[in-house]
Amino acid sequence: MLSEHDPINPFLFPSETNARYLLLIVAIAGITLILADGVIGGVLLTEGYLPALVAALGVTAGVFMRARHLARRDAQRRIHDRQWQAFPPSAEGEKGRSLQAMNRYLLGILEQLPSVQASQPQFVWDEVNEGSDRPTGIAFGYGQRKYICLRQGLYNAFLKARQSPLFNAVLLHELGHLENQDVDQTILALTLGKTFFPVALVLLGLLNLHVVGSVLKRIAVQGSLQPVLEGLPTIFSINLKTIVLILLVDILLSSVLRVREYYADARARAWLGQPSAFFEVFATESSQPATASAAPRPLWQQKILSGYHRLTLKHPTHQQRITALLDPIELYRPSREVALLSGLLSGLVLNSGVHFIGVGAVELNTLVSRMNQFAQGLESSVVTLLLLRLILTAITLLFLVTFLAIVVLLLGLGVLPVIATVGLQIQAATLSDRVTPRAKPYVTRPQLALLALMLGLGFVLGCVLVPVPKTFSLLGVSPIGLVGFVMLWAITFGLWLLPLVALAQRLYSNHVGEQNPHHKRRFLTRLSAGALLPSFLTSTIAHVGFSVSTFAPETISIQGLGLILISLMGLGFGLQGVIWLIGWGLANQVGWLRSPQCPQCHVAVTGRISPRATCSACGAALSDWLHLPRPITLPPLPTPEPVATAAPPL
Amino acid sequence: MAIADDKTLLNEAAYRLVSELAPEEIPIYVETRDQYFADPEGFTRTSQGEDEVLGIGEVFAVKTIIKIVFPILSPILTYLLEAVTETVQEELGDEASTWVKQLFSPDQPPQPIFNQAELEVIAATIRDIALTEADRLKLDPVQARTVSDAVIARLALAKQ
Repeated sequence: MLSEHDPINPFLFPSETNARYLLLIVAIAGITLILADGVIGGVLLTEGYLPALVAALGVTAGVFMRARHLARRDAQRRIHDRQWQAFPPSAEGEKGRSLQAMNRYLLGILEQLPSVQASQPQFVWDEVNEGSDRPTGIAFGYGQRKYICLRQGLYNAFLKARQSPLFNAVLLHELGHLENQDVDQTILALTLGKTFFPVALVLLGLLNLHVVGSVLKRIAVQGSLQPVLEGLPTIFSINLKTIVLILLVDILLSSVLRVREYYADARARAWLGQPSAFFEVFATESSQPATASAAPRPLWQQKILSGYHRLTLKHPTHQQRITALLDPIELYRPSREVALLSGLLSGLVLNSGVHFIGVGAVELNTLVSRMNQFAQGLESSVVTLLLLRLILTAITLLFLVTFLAIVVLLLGLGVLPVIATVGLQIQAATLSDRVTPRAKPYVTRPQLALLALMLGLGFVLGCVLVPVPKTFSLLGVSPIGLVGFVMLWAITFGLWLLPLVALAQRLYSNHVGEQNPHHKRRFLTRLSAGALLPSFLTSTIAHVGFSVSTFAPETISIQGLGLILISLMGLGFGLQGVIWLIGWGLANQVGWLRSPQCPQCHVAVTGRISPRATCSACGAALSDWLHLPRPITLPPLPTPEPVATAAPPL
Repeated sequence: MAIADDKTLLNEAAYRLVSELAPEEIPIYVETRDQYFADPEGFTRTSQGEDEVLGIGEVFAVKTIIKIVFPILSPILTYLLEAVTETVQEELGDEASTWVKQLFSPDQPPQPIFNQAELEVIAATIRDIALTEADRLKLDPVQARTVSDAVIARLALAKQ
């Protein structure tokens, strides 16, 4: 299968890896915070108050600090535990000379890659561990120190480098991880997983204990087993939701690791100048069984396990990698999975965050009341009253500022997973559609509708999956009602995606020159965040309004509530439209929407910008920014030594 | 006589074939040979590839002649020694061993002892041994064929 397009640089936009990494961080922080708040709030009997929130923040920070600590120690632990040696290892005779030659070759390649060389990677050698006969390497390290482990099998590939491109493909793939700055993020993601899973399970255990304890107390008080019947669904629900969230983190973690490989392949492909070297590496799918199973399982279990195994693989399949290598534009395809996950995390974060707004409001209100009581106890004099009035004004201002800060932060966190993932992917996909038109473009109305639906579905799932019920949890909402909420959010996201695509088309389709349009990307990303905020806020209010009116209609006794909430949403969309118009005007003012000019002769460029576009007047290349990075010149392979006629003695 | 008892012959024959078929693999000849002699049964056992994070993924070991030459050549040489002994009607295998050694020597070609008909039978048997061993040990049959063909080519040069 050959690519029908000119390949475009897959590194023009932050990679999908970064999007998924961000989602992972948000997921771990959000889930830890929710569980810890539920447990500590329950155990300390202070649910909804500041101590529980502060303690939950402390637990969450502890998870991240522990993960960072483990990440910093990871490299030395690996080297020590697996008995890796410095490269080249000591060896005599022909092997020693050959390893030295390989070392010179490695240094020669590093000289061609200045940014990789700047990280001063150290090579280490593995010839003793299981799998060391495979022609593989591993990039690892954290912070300033980066390493690449070369396995015995890779040395064998070096010996065969005149016959096979395997060695260069594998080596450049590993160096690609360094160039793409994957290593820190990956190691931290792994250690975050290692830290998060036990903490989450302990918190789940404590949450169960708390619920069981409450049930036992009620049994003692009521003298009947009725509380057991009432408590069982709660325990079941908490466990099911928490386990789903933990599995979600596992899937997300694997997806971060898996997607990264496409970009390391793409980097190595660009350095080599063609993808054929990888065909040998990925010629055959692994013959290893998908899941080791001692006893045969029923078909439904096999299907679930195989599906879960697929979702938690650390590398894509060879076929998927070859497809992406043949056509790097594949990396610009928007991912529905990312849309679902980012919607889910947006809902999760917002649901846990609203609770903290309540905590902040209650605590500030308490503070103001206490100050008021304090003031009433004082003897009144002009100075004292003035002083008190000043203090009260300051506190009121503090209250307002804090409240607004929490709202903005909350919406920022709720909006961020969507902006930084789906938003950027849509920008990138729009760009790829404009510069390399295809029979099946990535960004079409049905595709956008599907993405919006995935975002909406994810958002509602994120609200439903919170183990400890919160404001957004949609308690008591029927399945049809849930569909309504999915549609509410799908419309919110869909109406935001449409102008984003329209402006991205205009901004990127007329970009010329050598410079990557990162300034346009930054502008559009910020604008899209600002545009989503008002409609996100009004949809949030509508979500809470509809949700509460379903669960506890007596709480909001307003006639025509539905009409009011829908009108409010309309207002949000209107505000969004205004922000898009302002952004459009600003882009126009700086000249980004005008027809481009040739950077050489300044004649107006007509026609579509494509990877091969040239100026019709002077012939200058117009779209260098779209091109893949230039291939490197590989150093010459060492000349083989003459072979001795006599066999080495036994 | 099993070839396992005549490590010298296997060492010389294997070295000759590797230096002809894949001279670039000579730097790992000694360690590979020593691994084979230390544990002939475990030598071809394949290790489990790992889906290691920040690695290239699951890939197969590099195909080297040196990894296949010992397990394939060993039964071929055993058979060849028997065939030579039978042909020259010798009870003792020493002279047969010398003849086989010369077969793999660069400067001492052995005296021709097989005619065309015998050679065809021997060649077919050698190919069969190579493929059977490759199948039993899950080795690459193409590489096994390369080794067996290299031996057969030497026998052809020493036919009557």
